[in-house]
Amino acid sequence: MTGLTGLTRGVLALLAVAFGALVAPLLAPHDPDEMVDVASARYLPPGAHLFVFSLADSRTLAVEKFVIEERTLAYRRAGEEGSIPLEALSSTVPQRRRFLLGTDPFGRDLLSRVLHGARVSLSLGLIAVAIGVALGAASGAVSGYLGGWADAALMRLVDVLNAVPRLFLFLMCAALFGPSALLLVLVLGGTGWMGIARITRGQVLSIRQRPFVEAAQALGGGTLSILGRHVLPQCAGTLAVSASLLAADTILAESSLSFIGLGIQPPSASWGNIIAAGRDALVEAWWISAFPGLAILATVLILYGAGRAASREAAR
Amino acid sequence: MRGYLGRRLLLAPFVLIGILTLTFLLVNAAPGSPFTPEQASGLDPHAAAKLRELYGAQGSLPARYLRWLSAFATGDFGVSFTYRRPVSHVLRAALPPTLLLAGSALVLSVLAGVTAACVTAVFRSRVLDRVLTLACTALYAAPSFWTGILLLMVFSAWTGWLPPSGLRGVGAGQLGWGPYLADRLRHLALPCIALAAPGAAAVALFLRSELIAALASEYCRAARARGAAGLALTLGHALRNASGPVVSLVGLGLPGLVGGSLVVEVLFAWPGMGRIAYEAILARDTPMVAGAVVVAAAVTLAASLVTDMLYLAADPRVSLVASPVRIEGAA
Repeated sequence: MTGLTGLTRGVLALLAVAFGALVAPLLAPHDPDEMVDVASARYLPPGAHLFVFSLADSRTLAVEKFVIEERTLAYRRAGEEGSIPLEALSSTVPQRRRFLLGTDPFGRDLLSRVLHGARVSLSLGLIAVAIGVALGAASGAVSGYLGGWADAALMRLVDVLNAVPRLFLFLMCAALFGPSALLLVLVLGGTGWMGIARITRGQVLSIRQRPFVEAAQALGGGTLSILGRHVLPQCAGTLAVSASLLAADTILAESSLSFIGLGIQPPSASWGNIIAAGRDALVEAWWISAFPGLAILATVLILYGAGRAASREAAR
Repeated sequence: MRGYLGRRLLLAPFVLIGILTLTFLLVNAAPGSPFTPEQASGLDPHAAAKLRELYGAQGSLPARYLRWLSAFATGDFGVSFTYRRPVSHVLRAALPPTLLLAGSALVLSVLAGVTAACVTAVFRSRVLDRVLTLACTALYAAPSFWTGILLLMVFSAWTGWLPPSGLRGVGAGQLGWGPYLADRLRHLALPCIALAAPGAAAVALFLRSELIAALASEYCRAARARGAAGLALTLGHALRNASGPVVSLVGLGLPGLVGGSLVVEVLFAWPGMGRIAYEAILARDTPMVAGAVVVAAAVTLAASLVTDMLYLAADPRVSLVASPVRIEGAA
């Protein structure tokens, strides 16, 4: 990977994750919500495969092995031998299904669910971060540029919000308004902006004394246009760094909430609630909890890495 | 510097009032109010008025706000809908397990983090350093509930070495003090490690780079010239100077620690405040949740004031106004 700066690599990795989430329906080998023959398809280890017959009554029969005899289909299903007359099948040609990461307690394909979960986790994270960055940049800029009572009021609000653990705050909102994806995004965004506000305020304090800002003021520019056109663009580098750290935190918080059942509700897949689904069978089916956790880990590491590379770039 | 600490102490009550205001606004912004005729059509008006008074739901908004503030100031957190007992009684029973879990996780994260940082700094660029640094990076990025799940998988489900849940074993009260203590520790081990892991990793990674910078400094060169080397040099000279920012790092991670204890408590069925708050949500027990949020915030606030004082003790030269560290605790 010579010739690429750390930042480029970080951004490329981020884009790859985002692209993967975007085309998840194309990448996913199966429908993430489809349950074929739960009794034989649940808790299958990674790499297992099944033969799926469709029955005449539109149910499905998923078997491990089968032999087509003269009049009947002899098979092994969920470890037990059985047979079924051929007339009951709508087709004697089975569909072979491979489950690369195994299946969950309902016989759904884990790989497909993790891929679809990526869409949920990443898009929620993206919106929450957009809210957080917008709030943080706006309040930091106003606070640093105007000073006075606006500064004091905003910074005290930052103190208050910093003291409340955000998971507890979300819990309270969930109790009052009922858990939903919209609430999740609003609370995660609304409790994630304080760090960004502090950093932006510090930067604006120094930027507002620079000659180009004074020039803009002398030319009669309004407060909003000076902030938007001259001051905030100078903060773009630090904002990018904070945004990637906030995104990592937001994804961690979202997965925690979905894990305890207050975030994304099943049957929608999110990384947190897939891990929760694996809790009941930790020994027999370790893969259900393990793989979505690895997905969180990888995403967070990429975000931290990109953030660190961006801050190194900004410091140069 | 002392002025800064004084200002923080003076501001603390106002931050508390801010927290109470925030919770009050949230409770009152929620749709519907309890015991209104529309909600319970069969309810006798007098009984409804009595209930509203009992649960503090009568009067105008400003009047309720003042009552909310004064009630919390006197330690009256209202009456829980589900327990039908004062919220403060329920929380008083739930606070010690949470403090035990969060406190021991805090101690463990500092001890393990400092140890790992010293080892990696001394064996810099060798295999041991690489492996430990990689492990710390992974632990730092992993959500604590997932670390907890993996711990459960290995130490409880596969090997059966440690109990998966609860505060103590059945009948632990009948044990002598030695086995009783062992039983409590065995129950504490997994949740404590899961909660401490992200913080320990953050301390280790951060302190490692501080130590490496300190070891390259003039005073460490001088110490080396006088014959100090290896672990003695790191512990005796570099660590002391590098420890100040670590205290502030730990302080910044406190809200994450208290918030993380919520998820860990739910995972390990630990009967603390987080679990009480979680169960209260499922029951829509608003006073209980509000009380838990206020207490969690107050604990966080008090703990961060204590870390500020420790920071001052660790490094008297330091200025707290512009904190150089910004690490977000893994939620």
